[in-house]
Amino acid sequence: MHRRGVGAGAIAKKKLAEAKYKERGTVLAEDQLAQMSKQLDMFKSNLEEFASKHKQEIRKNPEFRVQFQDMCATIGVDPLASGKGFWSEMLGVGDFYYELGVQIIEVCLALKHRNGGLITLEELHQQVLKGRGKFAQDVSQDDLIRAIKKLKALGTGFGIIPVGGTYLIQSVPAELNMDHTVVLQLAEKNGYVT
Amino acid sequence: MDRFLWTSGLLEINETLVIQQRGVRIYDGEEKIKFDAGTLLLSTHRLIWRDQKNHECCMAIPLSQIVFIEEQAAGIGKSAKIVVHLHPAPPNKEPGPFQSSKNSYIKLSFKEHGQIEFYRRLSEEMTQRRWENMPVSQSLQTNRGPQPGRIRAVGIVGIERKLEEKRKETDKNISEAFEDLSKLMVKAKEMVELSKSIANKIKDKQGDITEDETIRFKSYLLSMGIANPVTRETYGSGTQYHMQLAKQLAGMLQAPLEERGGIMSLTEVYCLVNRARGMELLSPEDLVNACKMLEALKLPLRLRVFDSGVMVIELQSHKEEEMVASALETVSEKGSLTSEEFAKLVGMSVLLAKER
Repeated sequence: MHRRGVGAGAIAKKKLAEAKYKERGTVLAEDQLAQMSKQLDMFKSNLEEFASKHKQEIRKNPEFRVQFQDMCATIGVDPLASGKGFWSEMLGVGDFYYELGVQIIEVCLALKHRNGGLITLEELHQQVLKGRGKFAQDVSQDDLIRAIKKLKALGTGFGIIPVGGTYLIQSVPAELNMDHTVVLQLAEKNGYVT
Repeated sequence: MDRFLWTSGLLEINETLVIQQRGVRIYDGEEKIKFDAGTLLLSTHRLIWRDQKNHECCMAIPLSQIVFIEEQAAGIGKSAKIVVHLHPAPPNKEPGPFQSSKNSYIKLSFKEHGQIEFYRRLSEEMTQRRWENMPVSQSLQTNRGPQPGRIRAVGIVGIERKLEEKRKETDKNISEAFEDLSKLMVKAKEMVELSKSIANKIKDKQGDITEDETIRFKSYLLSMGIANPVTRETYGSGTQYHMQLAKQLAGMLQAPLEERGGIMSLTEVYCLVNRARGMELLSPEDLVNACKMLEALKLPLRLRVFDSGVMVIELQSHKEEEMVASALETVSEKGSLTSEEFAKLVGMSVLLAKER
């Protein structure tokens, strides 16, 4: 009989081959991790070089920031994902946007009693610029939108609603259910104000 | 509006450009006039407006004509404006777009923003009054209507050239920056591809890859800002960094939480923590990932997510006491309660009620 692949012997052989392949696969992954580590170091120094030449450009030029963000998005990289990321650390983009996030939250909180948590992008822009003072970096509306998109991760119900040619920014969840009411009640009882 | 005079828009000797802004419309008092889209330039001596569509239509007002300026905030559908109050026109004023006007003020509407910065610079120039120290000769201000004027002294051409060079230099810097950025992105893309292939290998071999290797991999992804396609039950998408962060947060938030009744929204925490850090701030995602690990690391705080999506940090201890106290109260009021009755009364699951 010359039929292949049939019979206990063949099956056992196949299993052995699979196991060996898996083992090799593990080794392959390790190799790739090592390769990634090396490439990461190289990338880091490329980024450092870029930063030494063009860090100012990113800080001062809102249009350049837009280009930069778009390029990152195209290749599948989020430079704002973490303060520990290379982009944040070396280009300083992180601190810029995270601080902007704090300023946006503060403006929204301060004005909530007046506008019920809805504010136009224009007014938000003005108020943020006012709060930042004369000597701070210029901040564009695009910057605000990106900062707000990141804030959504905090589960705060920040919404960006297109309206006419511009946007409304919503800083409170649209509907309150029992859970939220419980939080508010606890807040009232314990004397802290949102 | 009758204070403006026609000009070629070229700067004189000793006159320097301070700031310029596109997309500016001029109002004569409260009235809209035909000059609705132009570039506004502020120099040390004048306020110049040039039509965006017809560059030969260019007019200016000497800064010395300005009495004071005001800001008008933007509203819905309205751009921010600067109101410029003017002295009456001098009798020997050169010709301009309007012979006479009933208004002694104009408004500049910034349709493409830039009002705040422009106002700041204009205020500065009004304070410093540099035009008084650097006179430009009167004759050079003259121009016949929108036609380009006669050839000026060499100085003017020199200044124009310098401005042009500066513009080219800035452009060159930007294009160099873009070129470098593109090259960088190509390399970043390689990293993304590599990480995808590794992620696939890991998915295929859940169990064959060590915990260490997975953690290493996750930290690489974090550095590059690549989204994590592999989630392991133990620590979710957290890394060593997030573990450390979680411990730091536990230490940092104990006191503030106690001050606030044991519970704080994640937004509050974000502001508190980042204001305290000052530099090397946390991203919202960093905070969330760290908080997700609080319970797993048996720290005295925990993250709680309500149905509405609101996320809070609360002290473990505080919650229990409160709940136990209220449960005790409820039970003693009623004399006795089965866990089912209790559950219905308080509105929680029977499982939890049983625990209580």
